[in-house]
Amino acid sequence: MKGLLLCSLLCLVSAAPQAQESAYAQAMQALEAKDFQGAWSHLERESDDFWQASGRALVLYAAGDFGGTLVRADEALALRAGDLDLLFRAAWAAVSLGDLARAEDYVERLGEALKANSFSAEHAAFWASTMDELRSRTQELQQAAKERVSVQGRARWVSLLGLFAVMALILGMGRGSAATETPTG
Amino acid sequence: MPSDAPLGVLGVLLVSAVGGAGTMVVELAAVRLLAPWFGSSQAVWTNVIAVVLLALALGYLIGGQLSGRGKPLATMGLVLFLAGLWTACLPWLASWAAGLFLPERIALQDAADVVLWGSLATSLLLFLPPAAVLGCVSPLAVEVVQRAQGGRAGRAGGLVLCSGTLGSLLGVFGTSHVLLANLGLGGTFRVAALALILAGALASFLARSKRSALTSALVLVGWGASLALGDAARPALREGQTQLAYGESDYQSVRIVEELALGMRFLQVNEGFDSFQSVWRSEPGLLESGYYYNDFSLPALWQEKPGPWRLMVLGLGAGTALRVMEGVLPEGTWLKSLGIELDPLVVELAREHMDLADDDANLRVHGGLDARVALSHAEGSFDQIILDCYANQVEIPPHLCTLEFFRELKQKLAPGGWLSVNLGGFGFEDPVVAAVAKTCAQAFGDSVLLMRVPRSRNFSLVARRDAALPLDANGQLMAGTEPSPQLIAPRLLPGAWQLVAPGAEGRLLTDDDCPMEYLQSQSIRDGARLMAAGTHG
Repeated sequence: MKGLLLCSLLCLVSAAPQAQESAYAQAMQALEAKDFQGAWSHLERESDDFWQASGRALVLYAAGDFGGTLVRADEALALRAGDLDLLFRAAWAAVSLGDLARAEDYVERLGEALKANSFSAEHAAFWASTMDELRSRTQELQQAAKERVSVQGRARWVSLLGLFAVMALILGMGRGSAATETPTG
Repeated sequence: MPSDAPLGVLGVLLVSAVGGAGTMVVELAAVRLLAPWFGSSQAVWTNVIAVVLLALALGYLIGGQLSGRGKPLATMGLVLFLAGLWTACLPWLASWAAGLFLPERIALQDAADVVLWGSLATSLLLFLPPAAVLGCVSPLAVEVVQRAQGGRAGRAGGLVLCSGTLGSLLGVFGTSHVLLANLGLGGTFRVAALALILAGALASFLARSKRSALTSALVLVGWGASLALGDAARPALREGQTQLAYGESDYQSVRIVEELALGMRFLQVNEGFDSFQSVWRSEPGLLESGYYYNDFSLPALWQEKPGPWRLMVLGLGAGTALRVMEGVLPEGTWLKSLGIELDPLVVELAREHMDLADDDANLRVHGGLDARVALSHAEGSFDQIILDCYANQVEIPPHLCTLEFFRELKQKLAPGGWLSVNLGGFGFEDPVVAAVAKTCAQAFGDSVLLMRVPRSRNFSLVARRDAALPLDANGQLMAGTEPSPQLIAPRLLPGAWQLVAPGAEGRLLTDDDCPMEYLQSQSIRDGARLMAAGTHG
């Protein structure tokens, strides 16, 4: 979680200069003040489709709507596939939702995007630890899903086999009992 | 008459009655035994009852066959010994069997199939053997009575069925009202086991079985050894959690868990999934974002009414709603609360571990009352009623979400009063959320406000009696006094809330037609998809 907060700050700092004085930059300032509505309004004036969708994803992420974050992040990533900040948010949102397939996808894409970039030592260390954390959380989801499938399968088989075995026993014994007249001593 | 002719038919009927009682104890306590892992929903009840019925059918056949061989009364003794020993081990076997069919961690939206199949498989392993063995008792008893009395088989059957059913009746009342409440699960199974073993000993004695004394003594030693296996195991705590208290009530397993790293305590019932019923933090006031309890404070912050804020909480739990509100009420406003909680043990543990205050002039808490009953008897009117009633972790009791119930709620509100409802669900289209919101809107005869709780799978429903909802001239949510702006801020985004009109889509829930179990099962099945869609997408 500490990593997440640090990354949030780094990402905001790194993203804002790219669009200074733009509606996006104003939106990010509003977002820092937790003025979600203000941030959203600024983004409505943003003419660049990528920055608009990307900004909306960040706003929704901060507002705790992880499903909405993914929808907007996908819109933005369709325009700029390797955006680190977006991939990072999307990966965390997917992990928070427990959406394994999407978490794996975003983490893989984030890893690819990181390879294509060069960073200062501080940023490189940050991304390395972030990727470790994301991979570890994704692995936890993988293991949980694997365990769930295996346990569900076992439960289904035991149930069906148990039910059929008992029914067969009942039918077999019932037929035997009906056919024979047992002495009563 | 063979050598195992009974000394008295009455003795055999007594043994048969104990067999009937044992069957019901196993059946009723079975659901409680599974509840910590799989809950006690209708699906779990259905599976347990189905397994017991199947086992009885098998047992009747086996018993019928055994009755024709040699000494039916001695055989009765043996099957009761077997049933007793298995029953004594059930609390200990449960954690092993449930562990085979329940993943270590599972999110609620993934739980539907696990509950269905897991509880069935666990029931088969745990309860089929003792119930089948107990099923043998009746045909054996019929044979013994028939041989002893001669005459018609129907008469013997009638006597045995009557005694067995009376025993079952005793088992039902005894389990629910005496054993579970006073002895807990482990004690209940042990007492039932002991009764079965003693009945087996009586049958052996009546049969004048040569080794009856020795066998009985050995079985009793086995029963004694089962005491060493300890109490029924519970699902493990997560890392960093410690259990402060645990108890079995008439309704559920209840425990208080502390997580020191978060500085919080959680009240958990039937704790198989990742859910909790109440939370506690040392300081009253708002909890972190993601806890729906915060939203309960909004009406008082929107209205700013000086003086007492007359509040009724249906489903008080450990009193989290009160604690949150106490910390944020505007100056000059104080709570005058009536709390209703079905489970008295929850109230007891809350007073001990979660700072729920004792009753005084401004707080009355009734433990052991159903919310609907309490509502109909509550005197006076209220500025706000909070409805937060759940059973089996995630299920809204059907009688607490119907048109008739919401109408009763409305009548208990003062003019302009507020109803706040916590709804578990995964999206505005969630079948439970949509149906309850529509039903509430119909009862209030006006639109209701439905807000998603950030970072959670909960929704807050707000309805008002004969007054406007807190919307400004632009149709946006009003902020209200501090600290409500921080709660409202995420809701000012498009799509974060909805007004639900009386004629909205969704099923209308009535006392006559409220398929809540079905809707909740649909909700859980669609959960992952609805969550991924988000509210602002």
